[in-house]
Amino acid sequence: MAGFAFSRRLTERIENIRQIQAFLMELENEIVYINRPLGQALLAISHKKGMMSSFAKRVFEIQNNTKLSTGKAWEKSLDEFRAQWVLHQEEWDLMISMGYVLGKTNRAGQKSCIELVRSKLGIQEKKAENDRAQKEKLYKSLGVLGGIATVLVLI
Amino acid sequence: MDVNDAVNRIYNEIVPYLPANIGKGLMQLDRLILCEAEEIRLRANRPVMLHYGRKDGFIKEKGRINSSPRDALIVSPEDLIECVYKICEHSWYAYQEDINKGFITIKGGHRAGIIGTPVTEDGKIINIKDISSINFRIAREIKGCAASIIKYLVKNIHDIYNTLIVSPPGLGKTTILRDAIRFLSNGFPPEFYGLKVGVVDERGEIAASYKGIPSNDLGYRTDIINGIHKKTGMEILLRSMGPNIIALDELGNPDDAATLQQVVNAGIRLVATAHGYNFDSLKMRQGFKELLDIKAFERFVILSVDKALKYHTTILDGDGNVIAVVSEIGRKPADYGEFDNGRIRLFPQIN
Repeated sequence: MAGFAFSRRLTERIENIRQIQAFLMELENEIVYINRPLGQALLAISHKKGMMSSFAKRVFEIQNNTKLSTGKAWEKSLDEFRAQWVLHQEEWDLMISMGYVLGKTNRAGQKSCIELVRSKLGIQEKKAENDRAQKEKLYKSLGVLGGIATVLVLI
Repeated sequence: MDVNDAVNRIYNEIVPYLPANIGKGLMQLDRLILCEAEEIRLRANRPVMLHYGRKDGFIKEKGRINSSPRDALIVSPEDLIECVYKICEHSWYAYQEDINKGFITIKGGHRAGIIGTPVTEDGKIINIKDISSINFRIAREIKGCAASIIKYLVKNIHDIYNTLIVSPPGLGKTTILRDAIRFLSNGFPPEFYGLKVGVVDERGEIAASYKGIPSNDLGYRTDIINGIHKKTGMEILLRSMGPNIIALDELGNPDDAATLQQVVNAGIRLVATAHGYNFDSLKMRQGFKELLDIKAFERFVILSVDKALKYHTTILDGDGNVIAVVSEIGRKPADYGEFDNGRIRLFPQIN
């Protein structure tokens, strides 16, 4: 079971990275093409489906209720999702840094910043896929072998 | 709106944008001072200044204010940046054009003027860096201040005269224009039935729209186009809204004259304002000369102040002949106490 659980986390990480990329694409659309202020943009995204909608909602809520800067509200919200999302530290760091740039430049600046983070996440996604290709079978096999070994010991 | 409402508007609509210590200092001020507040000026590494009545005062801790900058609350450059981020909802990109123009209209129709070092590209401002000053101009709407002049602008129950309101800066021509628009839009039967009014609010001062919703009451038959050059705004209004009257603030650009002639020739009525001291001063200004030559305006409302600080409103016909002098034109705001000699409390007496 443990082997299967480990291999599932490899798949989840890829899924999470893809969802974040899709979210950033939506955010880019809201900022660059609709020119909505950040709070309203996050609120609009929060009404859509997917794991990132609750994140967008939390950033909006935290900033509105606490009057924290965008960067701090964004980071605080990320902290709340640490237990739920399967990401490596590099991906968390990318997301945290993103929050501190949002809203600070003109539209072109926002666009290039979001694109940069998306492309870096793209690299992380590839790494995650390679990781899964290399380790998934290993974890599963180790899990099965471990199970057999346990049964043998018990007999 | 009474004193409490005026003060509460400052608490709710201005204070949230200010650095915490300055907001606190402002909230501790005497309410009678605050209700007369016209501007709050923040300058980098300089004391916070409140302009109220015709006085300046430096805000200090514990609700103190006086003309000495000593011990006054100081604004840091970081405070200014943070203040701008708050004004633009933490979304610089969404307000970039307003920032480049030098002001953002905030909730309540107040205007935050922002200056710093412009970043230019091909001679055009593309950004402002190193913010050095922010000036909050507090918006006021004084309903009824045009009541005594409006009858001179009306030709018959369905028509008005093309009118130009003229005064030096700060005498309230925009305030009078705003109220005149409301009268002309709503009508005041049986003397006058309302007409469709199109307002070109280039600088957002007439309607003080925030997110497309006017903060000021401009009447039921009024359509407002915001933040656009007068010439383009008039053309769009003509094409899309079919107004009977076009209203606009601060004429003066010679480029607008041709479009204004077009508007007048199309039978649309005009109500506008312009900087100036009297009828003769207009004749010398480029852009107005052409309009005066074709008698585009049939009424002039000249606002002036004499040496004794009494305010007068003179109504002229299209040839510059005096029709009426209204010294007490009902400019008493419902909001603020005393009213003397026709002056509104926007310009209280210098003590």
